[in-house]
Amino acid sequence: MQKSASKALVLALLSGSAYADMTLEAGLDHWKTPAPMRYSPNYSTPNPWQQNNPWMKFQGSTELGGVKLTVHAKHSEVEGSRIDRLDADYRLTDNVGARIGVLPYRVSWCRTYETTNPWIREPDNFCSFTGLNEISQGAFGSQVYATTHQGNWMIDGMVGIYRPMIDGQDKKLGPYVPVGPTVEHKKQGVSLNALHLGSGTQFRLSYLDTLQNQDSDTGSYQRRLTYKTLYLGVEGNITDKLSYRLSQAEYIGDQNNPARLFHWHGTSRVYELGYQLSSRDQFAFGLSQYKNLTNYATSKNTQVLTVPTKSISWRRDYENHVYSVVQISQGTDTYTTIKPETTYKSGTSIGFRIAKVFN
Amino acid sequence: MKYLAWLLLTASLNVSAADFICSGKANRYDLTDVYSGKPVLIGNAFVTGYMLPSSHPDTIAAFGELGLSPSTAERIAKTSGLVDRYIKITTPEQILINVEQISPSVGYVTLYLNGRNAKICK
Repeated sequence: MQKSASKALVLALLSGSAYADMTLEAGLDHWKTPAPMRYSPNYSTPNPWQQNNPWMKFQGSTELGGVKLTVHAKHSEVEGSRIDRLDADYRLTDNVGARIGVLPYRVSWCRTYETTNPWIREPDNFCSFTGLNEISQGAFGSQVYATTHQGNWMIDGMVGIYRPMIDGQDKKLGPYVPVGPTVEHKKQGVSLNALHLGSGTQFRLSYLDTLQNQDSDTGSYQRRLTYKTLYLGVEGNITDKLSYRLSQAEYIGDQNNPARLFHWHGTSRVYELGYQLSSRDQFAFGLSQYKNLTNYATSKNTQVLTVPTKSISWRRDYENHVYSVVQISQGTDTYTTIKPETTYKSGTSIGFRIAKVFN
Repeated sequence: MKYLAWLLLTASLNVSAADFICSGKANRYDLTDVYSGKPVLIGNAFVTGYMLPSSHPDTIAAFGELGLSPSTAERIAKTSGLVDRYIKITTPEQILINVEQISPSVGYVTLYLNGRNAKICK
């Protein structure tokens, strides 16, 4: 929900006293970046890039007659404003419930609203880069969820249908730059999550199916996209202090207009290790590999994009929920066009975050 | 200065284990369910379990007493879960205030002073 999101965020904050439970997180990020390259923090940002980026995130919830009302909203100078969640959640039984409103798709384990996040910018480009992070967002829709316990496993399942045009999420079109107004946009998905209560090992499998149609401003071209989003993740602890996370996210799609048929397949693989040195200091290491292949029906050639990135971060927590993060990310961007011509860029981004959580 | 005094007092009392605190009608029999992610409904409201990060010594002591895994509870508390759970991560400075303000809820502290709205769980 981007329309008037700033206004809505301010209203949400002003009316915050109505919520039984609130968390506000505010901070400043400072980045030293190379010339823009995929997917450095300064690459293709929604608002003009600036080295110093103030931001805030708000989470609030309350219960009214057994219905839980929740709002999640964020604002940053570079990324803009957005309401990611504004919904009513009703539990039909202890283990079954339903939600309606603006809902996150809950496809991935992106840490957008997690106050213990060790990263300034997550290694998974499907979480951090605006052009690809649709799976970390949400739209107007409805979800039904259920929980079951099998031995020491807690298994959650969820199905959802979404109509993003209702809450104004009609500008972005999959991973592509819009050509004009969206005329149709529907999604439906299913997710499964299994958590071992003894060890904390957790698995996630998600599928989201999308139909998005857009007409160009001049009416000369209609973009007709269908694509599937898949997410598979596993995380757990190797020791009390050492944790891991492995994930793979994929976009697999087709442009169906016969005037310009093409197929694309984007994959983001991420390997992460976290080390909790003490209750104040945690370190994170991440290797990510993003690869996208685009095949055109009218050409035998293929566009290939490969973006591997190595990241390391150190988070320190101070008194009163103040924390800092230092992150270094080194990446390369190799792109082969259908001609074929290959461009190569590489660079290192260094970021510093200072933030405070109010709750 | 206040924090230093708190540290000195804590050290002088030689406190090593955390006390569980409850507000509203929550009681110690709810602790295991709440920190395992199970919804515990009292009246019209679900019991919220406040916890410190899994690496905090108070968390290790408290969850050890309950026989639960702190890292599991921390994963249950994540906002990226498919189901919203009633576990919230907070700070040592805030946990007592959180449990007092949100009713019913549970938490744990290493230094409990009488006369608060949140009571030692019975």
